[in-house]
Amino acid sequence: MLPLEELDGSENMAVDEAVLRETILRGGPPTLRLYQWRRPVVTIGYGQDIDSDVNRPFCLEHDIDIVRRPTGGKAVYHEADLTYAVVAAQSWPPFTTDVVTTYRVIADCLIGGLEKIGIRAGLAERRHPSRTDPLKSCCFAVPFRNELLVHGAKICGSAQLRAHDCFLQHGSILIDFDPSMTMRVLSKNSPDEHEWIDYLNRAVTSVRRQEGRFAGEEILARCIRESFEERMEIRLRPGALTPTEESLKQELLEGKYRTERWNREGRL
Amino acid sequence: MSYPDDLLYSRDHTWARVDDTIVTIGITDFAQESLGEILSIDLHPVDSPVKQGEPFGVIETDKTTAELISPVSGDIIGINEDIFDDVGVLECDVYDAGWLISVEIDDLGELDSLLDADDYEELVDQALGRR
Repeated sequence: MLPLEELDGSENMAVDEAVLRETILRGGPPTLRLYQWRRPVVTIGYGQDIDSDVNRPFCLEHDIDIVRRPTGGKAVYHEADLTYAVVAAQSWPPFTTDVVTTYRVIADCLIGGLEKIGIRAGLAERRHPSRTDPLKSCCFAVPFRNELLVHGAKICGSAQLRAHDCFLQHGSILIDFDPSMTMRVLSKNSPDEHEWIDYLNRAVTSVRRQEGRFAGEEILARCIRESFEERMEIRLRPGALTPTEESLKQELLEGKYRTERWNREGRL
Repeated sequence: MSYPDDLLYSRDHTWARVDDTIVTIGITDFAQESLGEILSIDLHPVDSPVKQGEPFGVIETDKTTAELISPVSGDIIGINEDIFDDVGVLECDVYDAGWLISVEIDDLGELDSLLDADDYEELVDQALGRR
């Protein structure tokens, strides 16, 4: 278990991938990481187009970084969320090579963590977005199967990368949600902006909206850790990045996550 | 799921069809079924080098993103451009029309580390918990 930390967007992605690469090379038990974002950032999925899926001019004007994730999925505006990352061998029990099983195992642990702070979440059924949807690039506008909902509204979005016989899955649990800011960051001048903001208000929820007496991210992080231990019947050992992972992190920062070529074009 | 006998297979679920020093590469039935509905595929360009055990592209599905791992080392001499127009080909004909890249191989000895169809089927059965 890596300690709860707050880093900038490119660092968070570099750490997640460094842990994945080291696990591929050396094996070893799964890693759970919980983290936050030092300042607002948009992360986009591996295959997204930065020019059509994000309002770049708005982000530049408001000093919001845009970082491309190594995982797929859609854009996420990180302003007030607690993010988890799990790295493991695909067949480390209870994980299996089945992708859906991996999502379900992790979702079950997250559900348990949210239950501990009084929030009852469940799994989503898939919805197919409309092509004319101005929020089609937005992760939280579209609940996919096996993602977490509370009373039908999405509270956590996740994405995954599988490489060799390992996987990285990370996702954001919304602590707070600003639909109007999300709209501005991820779409450009839709004539139905107010209608879409209303839609987001119904389709998305947050920890603070569900639990008015929310005691803070550190408490939630502890609850999630405990839930992973209980539901997977494991004991998480507190740890830190190894020297190799630190070195990989730096390489990934300089060669990938802080480069225009990766973040803008998705190429190395 | 099928595993043609005339192919070799890697533990990363890619297949290799060997023709002298040219190796054609794709993903197996097992990989395609495990990954879900394919949304897009990204391949390294022609003339770029590939190394055995390292990525030559990325596939994105409705469930996940996955690196495509090369079973051999060499230079990419061909890419199946047809799959960019219709990724559905990968779901209905992975071993023929669904080929991904062709590589001019550096070292034929690398083929010794690949699996035949029977060994690959055993690997898949283990992964599925059937053995």
